[in-house]
Amino acid sequence: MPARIPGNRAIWVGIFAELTEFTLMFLVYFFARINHPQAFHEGPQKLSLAAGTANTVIMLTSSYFVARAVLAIRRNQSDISLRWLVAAFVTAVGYPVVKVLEIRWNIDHGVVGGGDVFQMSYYYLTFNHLVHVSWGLLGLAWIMFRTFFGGYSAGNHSGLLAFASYWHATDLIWLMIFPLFYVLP
Amino acid sequence: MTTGKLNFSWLLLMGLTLSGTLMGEYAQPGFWITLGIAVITTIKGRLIIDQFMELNQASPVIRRIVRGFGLVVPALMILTYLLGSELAALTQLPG
Repeated sequence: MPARIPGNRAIWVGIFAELTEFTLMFLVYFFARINHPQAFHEGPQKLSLAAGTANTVIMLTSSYFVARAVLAIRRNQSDISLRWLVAAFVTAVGYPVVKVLEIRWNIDHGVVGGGDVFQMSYYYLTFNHLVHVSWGLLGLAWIMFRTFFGGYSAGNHSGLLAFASYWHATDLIWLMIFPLFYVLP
Repeated sequence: MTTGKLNFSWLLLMGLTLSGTLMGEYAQPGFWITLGIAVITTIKGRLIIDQFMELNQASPVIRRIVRGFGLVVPALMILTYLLGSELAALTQLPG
């Protein structure tokens, strides 16, 4: 049975801070959008939809693997849980790799930080999200280390749940960013 | 959370992501396309919140805050499409 506070209170302070930060950035995005509708109408056509889609698939799949790791530890299957966590990590490393390739593509196509208001918003929000994913990767490495040394069991895995909650929240934020920059005409 | 529900949620999320990608490839601005993107974003967010995070079984305070977050962007997509110029006028400094 899942805990009423998944993980621990501390991680939820962090998650609420993260959600507040991105809510403010989304408000800035919409403020810019209503004041510069043409730039935001044309903006998505200048970005690589393939890169945005690839990172969406990566985030969702990595999140799914972490959820499977939680299921496994609830069954006291620590070794299987570790395999799911390794799969989540390997998948998630694809996110910064795609980002690097995307930024190279952007620069070749004139999408730069000093560009129009759409491009500035895009870089500001997506770089912030990349920072949160990078923290998540470090957290995931720690959780794998703990799992490898038998740190979690069916009766005690609040650390794993705390990480899972953060990772899913970071995935949720990307699900909001993706349509704003890559899809919404 | 069960394995079957997780698998189904992931497959649905993949399908919805592909739908979003097709919209991004071909869509022109319009109310129905904006509504469609907002609905897809809402469903994807809700799947993460309820199935992956399991907040449908968690503290109501946490559940409501995170579900509320999942509605901010879709609601603002529709609101700014319908009232963009009016809202822009409200946010201009006088003079």
